[in-house]
Amino acid sequence: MSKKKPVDQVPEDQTQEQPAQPELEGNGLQEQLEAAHQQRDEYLQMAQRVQADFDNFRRRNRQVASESFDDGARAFIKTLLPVVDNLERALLEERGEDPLYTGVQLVHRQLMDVLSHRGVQPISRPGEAFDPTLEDAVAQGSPEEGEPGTVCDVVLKGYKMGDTVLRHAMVRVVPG
Amino acid sequence: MAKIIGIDLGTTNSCVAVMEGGEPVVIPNSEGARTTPSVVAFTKEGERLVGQIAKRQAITNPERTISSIKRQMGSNFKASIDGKDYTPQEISAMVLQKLKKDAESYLGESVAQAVITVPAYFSDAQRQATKDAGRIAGLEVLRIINEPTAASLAYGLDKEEPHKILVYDLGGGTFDVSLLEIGDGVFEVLATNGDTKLGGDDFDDRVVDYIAEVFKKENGIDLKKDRMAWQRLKEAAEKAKIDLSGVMAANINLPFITADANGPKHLDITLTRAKFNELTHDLVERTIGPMQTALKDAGLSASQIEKVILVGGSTRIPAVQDAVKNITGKEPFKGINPDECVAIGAAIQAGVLGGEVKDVLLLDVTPLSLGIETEGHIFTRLIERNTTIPTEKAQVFSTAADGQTTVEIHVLQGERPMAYDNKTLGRFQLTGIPAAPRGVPQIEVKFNIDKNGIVSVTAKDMGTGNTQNVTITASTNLSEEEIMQRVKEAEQFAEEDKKRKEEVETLNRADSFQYEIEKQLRENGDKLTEEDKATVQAEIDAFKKVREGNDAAAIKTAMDSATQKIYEIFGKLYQGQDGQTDGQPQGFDAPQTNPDGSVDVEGDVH
Repeated sequence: MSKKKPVDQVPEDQTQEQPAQPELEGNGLQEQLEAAHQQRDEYLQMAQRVQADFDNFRRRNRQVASESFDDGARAFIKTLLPVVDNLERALLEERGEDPLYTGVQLVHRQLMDVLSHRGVQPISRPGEAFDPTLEDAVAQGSPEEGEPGTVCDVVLKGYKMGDTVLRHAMVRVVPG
Repeated sequence: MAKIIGIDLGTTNSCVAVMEGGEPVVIPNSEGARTTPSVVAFTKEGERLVGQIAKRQAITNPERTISSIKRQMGSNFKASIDGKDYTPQEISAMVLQKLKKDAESYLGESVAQAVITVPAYFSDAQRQATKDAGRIAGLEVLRIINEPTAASLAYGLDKEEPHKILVYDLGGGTFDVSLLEIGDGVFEVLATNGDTKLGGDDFDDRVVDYIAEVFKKENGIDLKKDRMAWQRLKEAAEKAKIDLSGVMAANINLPFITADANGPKHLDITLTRAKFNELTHDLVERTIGPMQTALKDAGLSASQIEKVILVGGSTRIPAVQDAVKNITGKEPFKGINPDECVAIGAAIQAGVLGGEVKDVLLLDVTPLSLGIETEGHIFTRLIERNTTIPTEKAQVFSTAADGQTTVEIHVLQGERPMAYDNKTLGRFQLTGIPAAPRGVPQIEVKFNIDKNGIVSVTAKDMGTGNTQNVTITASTNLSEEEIMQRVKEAEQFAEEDKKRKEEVETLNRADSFQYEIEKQLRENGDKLTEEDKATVQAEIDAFKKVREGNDAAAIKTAMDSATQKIYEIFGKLYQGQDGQTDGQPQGFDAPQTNPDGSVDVEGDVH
């Protein structure tokens, strides 16, 4: 890599000069042959490299094409999740037979049905062992809140779509 | 044809990229993210977690979670987990291993070689440690390159005319500024500076504090006391910060943030960019000082900077960009994701090494000067800071005392003239030197810095051919703060140090002078007249008295006058000898000063 010039310039220059100097026999031809060999190897290597890169690209691209629709859906659903959260917060305070409250409850159920049809499932596992693939520990609980290493409180529900976690649940975990 | 990957091994986040079809591509990790948190954790069962997953469990498992290990690279720090000690190299290797694995699954082939980036101020020990981390992870590290150098490569600045570049890197938790000179594909670091405790998180905190305060004023409720509310606020603040890079106002809307006796409370605040700038003004200001210091260190004025590169996510903040523009008067380069720019540059370098990219000659420099201790605790530099590497330099030294058979080579790194003000990198002894008068043995000390910046020092007794050497390992090193501090100190104490060095040199010269005169007197005294002999003896006795006073100025004056008188007398000796001796007797004079100011002849006294 310390060469000042790209390697392939050297043989090029020689090839161009060749027709003007027909008296170049013997050593000259030998040098040209070696240069040509060197150049051939280099081009072959380049071609193999590009071929390998392309194969890999094609393989990945096939995969990407089939996944990109889901990716788009996932990205959009992710942005909807805070809306779901807030709707649930609105419902936290019971209002008995208040028809507005009941109406909001119905809207919430409708939204959850839509999401469920798209394969979206909530992640909420209080009492179970903390799993960092599903949950994000935001705080430690106190030892009397449960078995060590279990989720004692789901601060914010998580969601997954199929096997992909859209949002990790925020949880508090019993120390230990 | 195995691929060579380029890795940006960061303090908070790491990123890996590779050349594909002649273009650098960032490799997403197994979770689909383009950067991976540099966090490692162990579960109670001993399972290893790396990246985002380790970060998610950090709060509940703090004693088995390690983050920002880069700050410890090259130190003796050990992370002790469940009774097992891990070196920073081993922890970094775990991050590298994940990056390697993710790259392999992306490429569909195994990966064995990499180029890894480090901050420009990283010492040799820190570079060596980074290289070792690669090896532990099963990666042959073909090259360690500086982060700002990689960033410039990503922008293709190596292919243009020579120019000076400022690289401003404001990451998650650290701020670095580097000045580079780039010309004809050669990279040289002119100066570096920074703040190791400044980053994007500080900006988020300001927004959170402000909103919490506004909410408290309006509702009388302190959100800091409600962990859930606090968590939501933190996320919203970060999002608002990001939004404000694109729009002039961002809405922070957190319904049902908390509740009191009167029912639920909502948070709905609009944060303007102007307000955000006001809240974070001092953080942006804190980056200006280091920029100015770096310019001063490099001896450049802002107008001499031709190009500016922004690295790190926080440089998306418009006020940050404005600050850089104000200082440099240049529009910063844009176009490459500032979080990925360094990894992309590393991938390009990897492509060069792998023969995929041609025509780039890439050279780095030593961050600090290297040398050894010589008589009187003087730090004699062999390799000046900012010397382009790989490089090798040898210099011949000698003994300081008669019959000295051992010399200690004390290898140092730093910018101060006195050895004890600099950092010891290593020490070793060269023994078995045949006993001889001082100044006679010839000891060649050779410094070699390889292309990764790793230093080895060899001492050779030219008489016997005996050789000893040391390769500077990770056991000794300087933290980034120390490096910055050392350069600063060197500047601060320049006058004082110079004076001290001159004094010591005068004392050394005096001792050498005295020794030589006494030797001459012993060896050639019988050729002098009794009167002359007595004069020389008187002169030297008088001089000894002055020497004992340790007053450099007085010694210098006394030496000058004594020299003249004594030389006149000894001169008579040579006049009677047919001019057999040309020039000076061997080893007679004080240390010869080379044009570069370093001092030959005098070896180590220990």
